[in-house]
Amino acid sequence: MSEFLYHVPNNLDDLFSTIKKHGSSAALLAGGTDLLIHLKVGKIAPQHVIDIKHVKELYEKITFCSNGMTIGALTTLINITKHPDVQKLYPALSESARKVGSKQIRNRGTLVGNICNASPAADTAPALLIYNAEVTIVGMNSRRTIPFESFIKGPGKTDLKEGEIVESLFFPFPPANSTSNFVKLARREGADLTIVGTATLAASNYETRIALCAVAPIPFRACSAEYVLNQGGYNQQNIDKALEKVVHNANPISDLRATKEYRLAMVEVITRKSLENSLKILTN
Amino acid sequence: MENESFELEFILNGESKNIRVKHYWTLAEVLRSQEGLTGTKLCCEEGECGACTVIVDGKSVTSCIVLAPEVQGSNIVTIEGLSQDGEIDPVQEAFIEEGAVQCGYCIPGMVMSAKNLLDENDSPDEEEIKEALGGNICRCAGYYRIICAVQSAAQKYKEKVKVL
Ligand SMILES: Cc1cc2nc3c(=O)[nH]c(=O)nc-3n(C[C@H](O)[C@H](O)[C@H](O)COP(=O)(O)OP(=O)(O)OC[C@H]3O[C@@H](n4cnc5c(N)ncnc54)[C@H](O)[C@@H]3O)c2cc1C
Ligand code: FES
Ligand code: FES
Repeated sequence: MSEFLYHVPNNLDDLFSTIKKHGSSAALLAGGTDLLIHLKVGKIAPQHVIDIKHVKELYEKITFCSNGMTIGALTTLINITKHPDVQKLYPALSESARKVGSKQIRNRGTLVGNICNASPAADTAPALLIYNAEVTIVGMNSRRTIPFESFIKGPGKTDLKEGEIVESLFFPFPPANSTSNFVKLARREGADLTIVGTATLAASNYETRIALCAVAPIPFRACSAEYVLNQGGYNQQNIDKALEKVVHNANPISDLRATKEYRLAMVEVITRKSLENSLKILTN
Repeated sequence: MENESFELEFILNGESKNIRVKHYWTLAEVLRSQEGLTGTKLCCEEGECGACTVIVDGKSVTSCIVLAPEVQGSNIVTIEGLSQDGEIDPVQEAFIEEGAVQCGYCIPGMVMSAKNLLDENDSPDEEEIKEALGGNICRCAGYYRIICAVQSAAQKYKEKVKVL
């Protein structure tokens, strides 16, 4: 690992002035489960590492208000999996957080870190997409909220400008009479990156949302497939037609985990499984 | 930058420590090289295998991907800190009795993950054991006996509580 200085600001003013002082030679550290790997393999070699865990304005707690839920920059994946209301209201988020790495990784890793890393395989991204999550971004003199859908710009690239950080994520309540879930295909249960990951939401009025990770440069919503189901309902013929559209939207690569062809075949299988899981709950 | 060091205060296996570390050292390096606690193993050094698992403030973590300065003020327990009054922990006892140890390299990490699980859940079922130990790889592939050992350790803890 290359040499760097560790900084631990305890408020936002301090954080922003430390970022400003060191500019592009600094990297932010939350749980470190992505950052430390990047440092170790030499993908990045910052001269300064800024730990955000002690910034008093950033928080770990999960809060609910009249129209949804807020998750802070410091909320760990383990706390998301353990929260009974997250499990009840946002099952795809709860299940996808549980699928990230191992318990040791979830004990330290944050949800915000998972999306800021902007990996095509970020397991929690499909859940954020189907719940229409919003990202609140703060800078020294700025504050803005954007849909998560426009936050990830490319592999490893986000909408964050230099000097900005993610403060929190907001999740509007899902539609009434709807259900959702996440299905992940990987080679091994503990600590393995996803080959195909799908989150779906289905509702009694046929409002449908489908999102995937690990099968395109960025996680995405399969809008044309959603449209087929929104319009035509959940009969077998329509589901088959929608799945064809999902496969058409996917654009996977071959890597050491799976070939492009295998991923494409599995997009259909995993998305069908996730949809069927949702429909089973919905019809009960 | 070479001369910069970080003053780190923390509790290690019940003992207060105040040491100087490099900003870019990992917790695993400090435990092994500076504190001489070589029970914590290093293998993949990328958070994948669990050999370096220790407990920080009640949570199991892979110490190869935690920076030493991050544990400022924390309470850390390593495999060396489990025995009390010269007696090994019931988890360790169970691993020995169940024959869960082959080459032994993964075992300190396995034991720490198991200990962390049993501290949170005194009667885990098989699925819960697998989830808690899913981040620990055993290349001698003794998983079956390791799971038996965790079940037996849970029993031992309960009996110990009854006696007290
Ligand atoms: C063994 C192992 C297995 C893994 N398995 C999976 C897996 O199965 N699925 C998966 O999706 N991921 C996996 N990961 C990746 C990682 O654990 C997750 O992405 C995790 O959620 C990252 O969170 P963190 O808090 O540790 O992020 P960090 O490493 O601290 O940060 C990640 C990136 O985000 C930036 N960042 C963090 N917080 C902020 C903020 N508030 N504002 C702006 N930028 C910020 C950092 O600068 C850094 O670039 C795995 C990692 C390891 C080591
Ligand atoms: S050495 Fe730390 S997880 Fe493998
Ligand atoms: S006993 Fe040899 S690696 Fe587990």
